[in-house]
Amino acid sequence: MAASSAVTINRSEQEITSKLSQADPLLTHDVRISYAPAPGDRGTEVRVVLDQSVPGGALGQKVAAVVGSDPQRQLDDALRRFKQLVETGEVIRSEASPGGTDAKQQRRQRPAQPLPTDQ
Amino acid sequence: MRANCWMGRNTVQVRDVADSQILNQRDAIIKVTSTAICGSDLHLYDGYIPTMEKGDILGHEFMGNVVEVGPGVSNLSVGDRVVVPFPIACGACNSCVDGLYSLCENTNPNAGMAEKLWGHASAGIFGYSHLTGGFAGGQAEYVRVPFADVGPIKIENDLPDEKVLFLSDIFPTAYMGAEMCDIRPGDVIAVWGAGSVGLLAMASARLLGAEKIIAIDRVDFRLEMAREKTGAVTINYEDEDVMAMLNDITAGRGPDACIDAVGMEAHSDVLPIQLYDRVKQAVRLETDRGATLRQAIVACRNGGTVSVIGVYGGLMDKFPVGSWMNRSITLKTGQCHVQRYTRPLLELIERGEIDPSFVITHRLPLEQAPDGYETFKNKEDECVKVVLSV
Repeated sequence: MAASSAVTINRSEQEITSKLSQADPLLTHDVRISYAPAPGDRGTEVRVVLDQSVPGGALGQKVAAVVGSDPQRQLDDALRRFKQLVETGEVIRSEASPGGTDAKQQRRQRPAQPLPTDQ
Repeated sequence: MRANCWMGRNTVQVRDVADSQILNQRDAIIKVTSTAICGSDLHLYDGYIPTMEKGDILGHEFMGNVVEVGPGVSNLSVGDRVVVPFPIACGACNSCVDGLYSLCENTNPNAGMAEKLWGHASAGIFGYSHLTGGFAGGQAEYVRVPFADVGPIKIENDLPDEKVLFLSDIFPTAYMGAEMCDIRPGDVIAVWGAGSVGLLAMASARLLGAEKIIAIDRVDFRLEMAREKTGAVTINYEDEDVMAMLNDITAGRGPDACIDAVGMEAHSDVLPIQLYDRVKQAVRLETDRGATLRQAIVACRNGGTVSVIGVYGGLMDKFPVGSWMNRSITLKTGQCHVQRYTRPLLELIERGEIDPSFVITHRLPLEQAPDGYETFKNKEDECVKVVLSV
């Protein structure tokens, strides 16, 4: 099953592609990325299609979705992180999600309090 | 450091936790001097906002002094005194560029969680569940502030904390609530809820030129405060018929705009409605009790505006869709875009046009935060607003 995701980034296509080398590996391998100017001077629409299937058919997909490892979620996460990187310079971390946007981590949140050591 | 942590429904504890640390380049660490308990913190305390975890540090209204800045922050220095807006905003995405800071597209690492509930995600918020990012809050000795170059406003005068602390949330929230009413000369504005946000919405409506302000609540000391501090006409809905009173005051027109400063834990004077909402909320068939919003819509004049600043989380039943549609009612709402308001509202305070500290009734040290929550929740001791000093 192909996964696809789209995001609007408030930057030019040129600025976006210049940051692509810093994106998650998922966005630099085995994906088709297309760009279009966002209407209303809102930057660039970025659309990504990933051709990768989950083993185990429909059940496998459900299991993968629950544990946060299905391609759709990974693609959504990767695009979110990339948007953060392009628009703000880095991936935003919170005390509960210190690794930043990650569907797997959303199911295993630590409390929203400072990390015990430098992490 | 010490911090006030959510430990389960109706339980908060001031505990030892690790010290705040820089996690992103544009972070700052603030040593908190004053922090407040918000009415919306009670929704967390009461257990009505999903995705809380045991140990979460609460608090989204706070101010203090900068003690550390990340390498990406050039406009703040150690020692600066700042008030911090409750929504975390990057300043660069389309929403931020449009001034819709509470809808920042980049500051919620758990945006996927919020999208499942709301369709699209909103910004990260300090100390307000994992749905809004899982950021440690400011009811603590120290707090980490992301995008410290965007949100915090420097206080470069000698105004006491109490006069400027509420720039973090309740004053801008209340002001936006009044602003959404598009007040014109002669307008009558009705405000449901005479808590601190409602009272400041009344004061803001006055500043914006409202002719008459009507306060609706069931707690007499709050209504008294509304009369004394904002010159409002008051209705205690447990003693009086709200619709009849509003129609009498406005000679049958209804208020030009209605502000809902109550939100998801509304009470109703109509017993079957109250029971219906309580039961459905208790068994989680409805997350939000809607008595105030329903009444605000039905009471509003034809073609008027209903402005919602009370917090809602999920779904409510029995939305009066017919009244809303057929009578051309405009419904406006949003978590406050605080960063838009901090500068102009600070200037209002500096010019002495308003002193938002009039809502404070209780001052406690951080260590007594649990007592503050209980007193506030139960409206004991004529409690309207609790400020914790750190």
